[in-house]
Amino acid sequence: MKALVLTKPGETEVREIEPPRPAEGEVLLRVGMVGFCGGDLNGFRGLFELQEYPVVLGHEVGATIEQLGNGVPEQFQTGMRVTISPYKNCGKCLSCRRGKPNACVDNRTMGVRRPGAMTRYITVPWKDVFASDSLSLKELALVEPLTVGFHAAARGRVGKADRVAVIGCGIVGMGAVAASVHSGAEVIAVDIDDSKMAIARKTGAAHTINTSKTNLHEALLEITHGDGPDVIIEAVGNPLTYRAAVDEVAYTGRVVYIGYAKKPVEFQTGEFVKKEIEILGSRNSLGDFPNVIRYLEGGTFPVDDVVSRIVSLDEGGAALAAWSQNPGPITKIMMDLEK
Amino acid sequence: MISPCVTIALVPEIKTGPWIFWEPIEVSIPKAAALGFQAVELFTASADALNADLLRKQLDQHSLRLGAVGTGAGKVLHGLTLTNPDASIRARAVDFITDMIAFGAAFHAPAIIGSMQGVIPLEVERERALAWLADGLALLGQRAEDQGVPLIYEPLNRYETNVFNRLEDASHFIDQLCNVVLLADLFHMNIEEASVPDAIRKAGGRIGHVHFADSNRGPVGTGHIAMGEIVTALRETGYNKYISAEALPFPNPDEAAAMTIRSFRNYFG
Repeated sequence: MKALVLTKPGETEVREIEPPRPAEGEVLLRVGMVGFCGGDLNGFRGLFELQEYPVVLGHEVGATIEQLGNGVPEQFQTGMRVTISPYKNCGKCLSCRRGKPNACVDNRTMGVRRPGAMTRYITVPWKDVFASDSLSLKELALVEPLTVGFHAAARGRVGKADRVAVIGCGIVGMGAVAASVHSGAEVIAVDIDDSKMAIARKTGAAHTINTSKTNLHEALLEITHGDGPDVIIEAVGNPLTYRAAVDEVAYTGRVVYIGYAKKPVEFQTGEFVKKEIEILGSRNSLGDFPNVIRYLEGGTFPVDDVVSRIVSLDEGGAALAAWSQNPGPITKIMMDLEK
Repeated sequence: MISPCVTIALVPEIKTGPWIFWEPIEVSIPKAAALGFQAVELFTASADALNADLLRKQLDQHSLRLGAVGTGAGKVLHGLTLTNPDASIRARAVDFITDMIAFGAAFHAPAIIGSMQGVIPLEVERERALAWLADGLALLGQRAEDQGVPLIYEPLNRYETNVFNRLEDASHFIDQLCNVVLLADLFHMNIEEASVPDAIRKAGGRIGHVHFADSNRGPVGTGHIAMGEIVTALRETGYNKYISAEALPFPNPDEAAAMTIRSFRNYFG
């Protein structure tokens, strides 16, 4: 069967690989839709420190259960539509022992440090499978990236009394927008692309700021009546936005970083102390799959607006290269394995 | 949202049991609130053993909620169970639990059926006893639903009951009932389950309450349960209710409560 392989920075190729068979406790999935992640883009650009080469890409999966291995609980049946948690933790490190496998020191995400899902069939342990009767394969492929944003909102302890600014409205940032809106917060979506602003509005953001046209500092002060946002969630990974989060957050506020900064970042550290802010990292997700599935089943998320382009497996490499050339307006590219 | 809860027992006759606080609610509730618990689980002698107005005042004053009410006193003090061969005793057990459901429901808290499930006597066929239990739980589940709360059924370890010891077996049983959910007690599960995390994943959304205790039934942190994997599994099922410390108050209630809240923050914070 064919698979899209990231062979080295800037290069992909379609290779033939052996179809897998489910071992004890595993399910065989027929992959339907797979999303391209920002991490895939950074891996393609050689900017993602965890990316290994060569590797089959893909970890945002909408699939159908094709076959059950021995020992899989009866709650799983062939034909069910599912998504998967693509993370694999060591179970031994301090993070794992503390119940935070998302921060495992040896985490292995599909498509990053082990084979991914941009191929027809994959096998996964039943424990990593999450089903939904009502979501489509496209919606199921959006679950994983949205969980990352949901986790960031949880890290920021976002509640209904908070004004939350989300900087960067790609799919992960959109997840943070959705989770914050869902928590009852007043959400300010920040990006440099008007199409993403429009999607953020549909997701429930009360305010949008296009920083290519508007001064971020002045706009935030106006919206927050001079206080600054209680929580800022940074989902870009740019030194400028890293610093802006600290500079713009309210006194005693919380800053949550999702994006990996691609360069060292200089801070005026006096702001940390003077404002007595909390600075929190947020990695992957932690138990958020059921929450996001329930959220998507509610039908309020603008799925069709978010998915910018759908390509075939053969078109995947070119689509990734084009995205790398012009990442601005694209929120989510998906691979349709039926195409 | 997953919230920390702590047990308060108000039944002097069972003062060797696994409950953290033993002092009157005027003392225990302020202590629970000061430590950061968000709810209390009460074990009372009966539905009218505690002044509801006093309880409401204490809960309101300290911004706590009632997380659940235990019904075990029905067995411990009165010998009532839902699997007793004597129909009149089973009927009195249903009445006792009905009153406890109403007591809890006034605070939006569910009642827990643990030891009141009883032990199936050797001379009674298992299927017959399970039919009695199903009848009782069906009636009580409906009464709980009428008052807007679930009914919680707790599998216990083999040394306390022979009804259901594992979550999976209990899951099949409650699936035939309405408005009955499961209690995942980590102490009992540590004895009975091949894998506590896998049992939690399989039970999934049926879990409506969790008892937080270590392998030795002390506060979490005093035993050897691999809690990280259990916490991960709970999160992955979408569990978003109480994590309630039903544990032996070692070395004393105050220290057991403090250790519990530290452990809660380590794992769920």
